[in-house]
Amino acid sequence: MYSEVFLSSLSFIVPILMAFIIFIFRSSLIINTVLSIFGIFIAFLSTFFSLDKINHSDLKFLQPEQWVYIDGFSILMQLMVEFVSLFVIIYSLKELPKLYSHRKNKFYLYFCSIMLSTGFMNLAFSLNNLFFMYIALELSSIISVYLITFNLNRESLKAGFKYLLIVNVGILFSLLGIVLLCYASGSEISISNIGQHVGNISKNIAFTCAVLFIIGFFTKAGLFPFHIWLPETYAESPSAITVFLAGAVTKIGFYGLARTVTVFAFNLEEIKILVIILSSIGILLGAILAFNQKDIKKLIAYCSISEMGFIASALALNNYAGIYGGVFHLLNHTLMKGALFFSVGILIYICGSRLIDEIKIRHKISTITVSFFIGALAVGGMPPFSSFLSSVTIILALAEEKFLWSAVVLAFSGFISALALIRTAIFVFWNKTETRDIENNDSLSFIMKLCSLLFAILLLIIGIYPELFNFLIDNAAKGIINMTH
Amino acid sequence: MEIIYFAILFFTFIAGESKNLRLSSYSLIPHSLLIAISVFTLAYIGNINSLYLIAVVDVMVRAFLMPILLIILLKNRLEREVKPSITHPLSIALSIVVLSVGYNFVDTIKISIFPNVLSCFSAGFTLFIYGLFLLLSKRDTAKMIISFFIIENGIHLLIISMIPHMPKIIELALTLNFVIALFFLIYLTIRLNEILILEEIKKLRESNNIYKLEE
Repeated sequence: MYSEVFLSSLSFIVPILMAFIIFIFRSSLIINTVLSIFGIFIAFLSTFFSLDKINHSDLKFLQPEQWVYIDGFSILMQLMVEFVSLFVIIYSLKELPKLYSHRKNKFYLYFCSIMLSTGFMNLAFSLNNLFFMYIALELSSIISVYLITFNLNRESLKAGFKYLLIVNVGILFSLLGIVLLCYASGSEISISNIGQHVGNISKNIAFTCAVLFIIGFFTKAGLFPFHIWLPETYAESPSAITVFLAGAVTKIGFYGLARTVTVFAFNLEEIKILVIILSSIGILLGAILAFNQKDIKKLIAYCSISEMGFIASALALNNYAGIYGGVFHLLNHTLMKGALFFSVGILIYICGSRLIDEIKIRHKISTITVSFFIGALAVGGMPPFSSFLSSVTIILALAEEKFLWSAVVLAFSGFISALALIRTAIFVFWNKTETRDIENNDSLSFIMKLCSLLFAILLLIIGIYPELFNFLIDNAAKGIINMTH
Repeated sequence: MEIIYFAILFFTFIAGESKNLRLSSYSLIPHSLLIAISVFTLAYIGNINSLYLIAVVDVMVRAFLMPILLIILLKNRLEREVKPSITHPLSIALSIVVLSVGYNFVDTIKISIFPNVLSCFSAGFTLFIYGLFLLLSKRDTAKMIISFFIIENGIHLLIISMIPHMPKIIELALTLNFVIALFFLIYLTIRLNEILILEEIKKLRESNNIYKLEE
């Protein structure tokens, strides 16, 4: 029993331990990278151990001790965060020395923060008690502020301040929701019993709790109308950290949503409608605002707000197809943003600017072009990429639940987002004047290209052969549905 | 108890509406001390032993550590707050409405909706709402941090009123979270102020150079 808890806990113990080792020894960039990769590797092994245990259990979740609760959804989230962290660390190895050389003596703190944040996220995905989950979740977002402000210029500091203040105040609403739920049910609330308690409390209290959770976790995830921190934060962070934020940190908001709001949506029709209305407005608004952006990172950030609306609306549906589509799109969103932000990071690395007008690359098919285009097409939900499958699943699930208007908004907005991205891609990669030859740029690292291409290839592979990750997504969807009862 | 809550609201008003940032920060000391006193009193009246520890932590963290950090923040900057998004008289009027009417309104409806909560519920809820109002109306980073502090104190009182027997470890972990968040906010503001000062010096030097060239 204890060995089982210990092995499952390594997914968060080792990254936190590695963070302390990096902090104490303050070694060189290479050693910090190696230590971080080692920490993530052990976390991967621990998550696979938990996955194996879940597959062999009849209940399909692990609860060796009262404070632990690991189901298919926790596993998927842990794997996603570990995967993103791993490539962010690898990418940073090349990005940091060139673009952030003025912070050379603080590189160890950068890696330390990534490992701590990863550790706390994995801890949040393993905890049963909602209060402890909240604490781990908040700690991970506070620590990521150091990464956002790593450049230490006026704009990044402002973005970091805005992020910290808005997210912290927003997430306090979800704390209030937990407190109210505890008060109304008269006992401690945990993930394993939230479904029973929500069914037993009065409708008005349940509605209030759900609204508080929506405010809290929508702010954390950067969803409309609490998204104001997101574009600036994504734009001002180092590109690797933007991937970390989009692929991991904002995902904690969705974890919170799935663990709380989905349960309420299963019991209250009003909550389902409210989430779908908010998400649909966000989907449309994000796509429209993306069109006006001059900053390439802000453009992708607005597309991201739109994309995340897909996930939120799907997670509010009380049918298997909706939850499955939402979880699938969660995975795809991470891959899409990885492909896009990593390739944009390379463009900024070459051109030294985020402004679309100043980024012009020679007309030649390169790895960056391929990964950017795959990412852009995937945002539009085009076949054969995996986002096509998840988008179609969500659209069908919405239509089945009589939200046809929302399905139309979703399809239309996906098209607009893709259009905004492809238009930019054509301007950046096929502009004939004032171009830079990227093929002759010796400093362009193979590692950076590999990172962006890998995310793009995964979008293609999962799109062609979805069975590859089906068991993970299926387990995650079933895990969410199981806790609603 | 009512007197303590009124006093908390009074010092909150001073912290929120004073144009002098140093006075705002100093008024957070009696504000937090009174919160700790109310927690002590609730522990004594309700015979809830776990609340004594929370009150001690409140004195150390909320009444001393946090205001000290805020005063450090004000060290190298103007003590007058940046002009808020609404006019000062309007802000004062709205504050009085939120604090007095809000408190009485919550106190009245509390009995029918949440009959089993402790008496600090109304004060906690009012602080929470007032903190949000301040956050939306103020532009000064120091005032925003003070707003966050007030919101957090409101939540703290709400938790105590609704779940008085909450495990101590959760309450302490929440306080630790709050300290870390506030520490980061203050760190960011100090760095931002440093950069702004450097930029001002640079501008001044440039304008001096231009003036010399013209001469």
